[in-house]
Amino acid sequence: MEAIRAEGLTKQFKDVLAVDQVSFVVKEGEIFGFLGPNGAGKSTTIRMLATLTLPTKGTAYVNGKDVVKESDEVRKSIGLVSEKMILYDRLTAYENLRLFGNLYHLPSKRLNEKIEEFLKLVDMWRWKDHRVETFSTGMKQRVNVIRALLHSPKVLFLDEPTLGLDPQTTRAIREFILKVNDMGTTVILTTHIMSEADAVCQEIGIIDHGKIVALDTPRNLKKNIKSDDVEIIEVEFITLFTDMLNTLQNTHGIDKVIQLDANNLRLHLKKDFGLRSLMKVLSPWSDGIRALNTLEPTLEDVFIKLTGHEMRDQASKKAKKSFAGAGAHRF
Amino acid sequence: MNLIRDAFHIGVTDLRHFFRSRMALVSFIVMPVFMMLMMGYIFPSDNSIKGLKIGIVFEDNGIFANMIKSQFEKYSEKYGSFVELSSRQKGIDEIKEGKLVGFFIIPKGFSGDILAGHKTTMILVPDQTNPQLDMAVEQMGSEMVRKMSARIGKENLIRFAKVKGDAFKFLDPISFRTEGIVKGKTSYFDFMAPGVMAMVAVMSVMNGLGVAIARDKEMGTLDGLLVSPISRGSIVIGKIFAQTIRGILQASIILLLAILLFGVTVHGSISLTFFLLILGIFSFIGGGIILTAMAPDQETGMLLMTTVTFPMLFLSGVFFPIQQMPGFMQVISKFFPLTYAASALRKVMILGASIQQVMPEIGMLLLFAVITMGAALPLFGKLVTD
Repeated sequence: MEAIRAEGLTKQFKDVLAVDQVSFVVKEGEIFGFLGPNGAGKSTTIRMLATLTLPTKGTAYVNGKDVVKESDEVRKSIGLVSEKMILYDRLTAYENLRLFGNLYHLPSKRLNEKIEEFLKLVDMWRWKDHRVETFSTGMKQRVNVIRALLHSPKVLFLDEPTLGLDPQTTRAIREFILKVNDMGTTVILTTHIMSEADAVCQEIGIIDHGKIVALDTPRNLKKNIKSDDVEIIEVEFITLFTDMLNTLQNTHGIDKVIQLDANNLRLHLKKDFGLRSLMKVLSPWSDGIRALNTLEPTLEDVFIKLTGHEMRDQASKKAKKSFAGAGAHRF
Repeated sequence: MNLIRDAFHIGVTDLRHFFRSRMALVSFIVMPVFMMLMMGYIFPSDNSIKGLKIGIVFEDNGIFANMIKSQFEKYSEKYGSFVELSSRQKGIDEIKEGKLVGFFIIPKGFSGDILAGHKTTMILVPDQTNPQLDMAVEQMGSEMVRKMSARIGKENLIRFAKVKGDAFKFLDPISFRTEGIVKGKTSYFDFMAPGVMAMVAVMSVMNGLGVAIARDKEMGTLDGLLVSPISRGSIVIGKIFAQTIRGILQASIILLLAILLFGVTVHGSISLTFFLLILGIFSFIGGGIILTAMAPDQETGMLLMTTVTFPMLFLSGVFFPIQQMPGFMQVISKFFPLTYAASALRKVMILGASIQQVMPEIGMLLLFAVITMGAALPLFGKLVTD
């Protein structure tokens, strides 16, 4: 059974083509991850699937229902956690859950039981009568996530659910997602964090500039890159020198030079280039090398390989790459 | 049924959210209080103007000049202080310096003329920069002269014409009396309070609706409402419901203050008053939705709203009677539902009119409500989505 089927989904905002001919299928019970930089079109795709935005072109079905023609039916079976918290600040956790539960016409008694069960599950029961505005982002997000689940939706949309959260809550939310999925809920997740997608998703769609550039399991995506004759090396230096970086950039045989921070570089080498050649290139600075590792490819590497650029916000993509330590991007 | 229930939940949430903000609550109560105090004290509640400084130039020192002097002393309690001036020129100078609002001249031969049975004149030199004060002083002077004149006339009749009995009947045979429908004299405040009530309710709804929806959009909660299987209509109805309650509450504060502080008495039915208020609010909601939906963002929306509501305040007869306006403005005033709401409320609150007697206004308000809401209906969706 298909939870979601998107066919040529397109969204045009005035002069921006946000989503361009996106097609994919998500099987029931799966965790599907949308991976891509901010502004790539993930959220817009989710909003179209969740009936919040009308597609310019194309169709989509959620649980077999058309998102445009049968939007009411679709709404009954979906839950949404969007980038902004769907909670009224000045209402308590309980009041918020009560309100949104009521909108799904859940019987009062069952709704109360559900609220109690869920609040206990995310360890928020004792905060139920406190106003949401007094909560930390992590506490809010926990309430926000269970808000989306009160009516037991078949499909749960999570748009950047761990954005701005501390590592502890991030882990808690991920575990909760897995738990919800275990209970049979299909989960559609968007994220720009590669490791998150890698950790929870069974299938990943990589989206860049509104287009899906790859669609597969994380394993296959990484396997493909490996067989693609790319070797990934991470080198740690005492300091990075501009002339060294320039030399590496201009060396034929090195596909990519990615600066991780003030000390670490990640290099994509062509298979036939080899470590020996790299050592030769680096010999003038070899005293400064602290460590050198060969690595398994990550989804980040997959992304770079597929799109030819690093995973940074689409808006800042045009900015010239800088090698100054402070300006480095790390994922 | 579900529509109403969902709308109710949304409305209650909206109210809860609003009233839990201390700042919002304070301004919610302070605004009408402020409005009332301002309007109530700035606009005179009766026609008296106090604290005036008026000069008198006595060019005559006869018996009647002295009578005038003692009259002025009596009046000073009501109007302010009177000062004797040495000459007309002195008075003119003091007016120019802003020390006097005008001065009276008791010309030479004043007492002599009266004693001789001739007509004489008291002169007022007003400060022409302030027509309103000017009018008040003029009224005072003429009233005083009229009273004195009648008294002297009566004595003259007795003395010269040997009239016996009540000489006033001859001198002043017609008297005039006003009989109000309701007891007591109505003040400017009675006139204004119903209009201000309607205005505050209407403005709070018109502005509040757009703000409430924009806030939900900004907070993200609107997505939560939109993604749930409720009708779009129930969201808008819920918001309207919340705003209406707020408008009614504010209008009640106005009413309470009007009664407690400004001695306004409501002669008509309170329930009819509130019915008219709600109807007034409904007649505006459509317009509010149209304006909000027309604006590309909240800031422009507020600007649009002010552009419409500001002239409405002055054109709807809330502060000034419509009859006082030039013809073309009277025509324009007919296009603001507030005109009808204020007029109907005034009739009910001051005169105790029945529902049948305000039917024309009710009809107009209903017409406005139906037309504007009908026009706004297609915009409902635009308002809540994008």
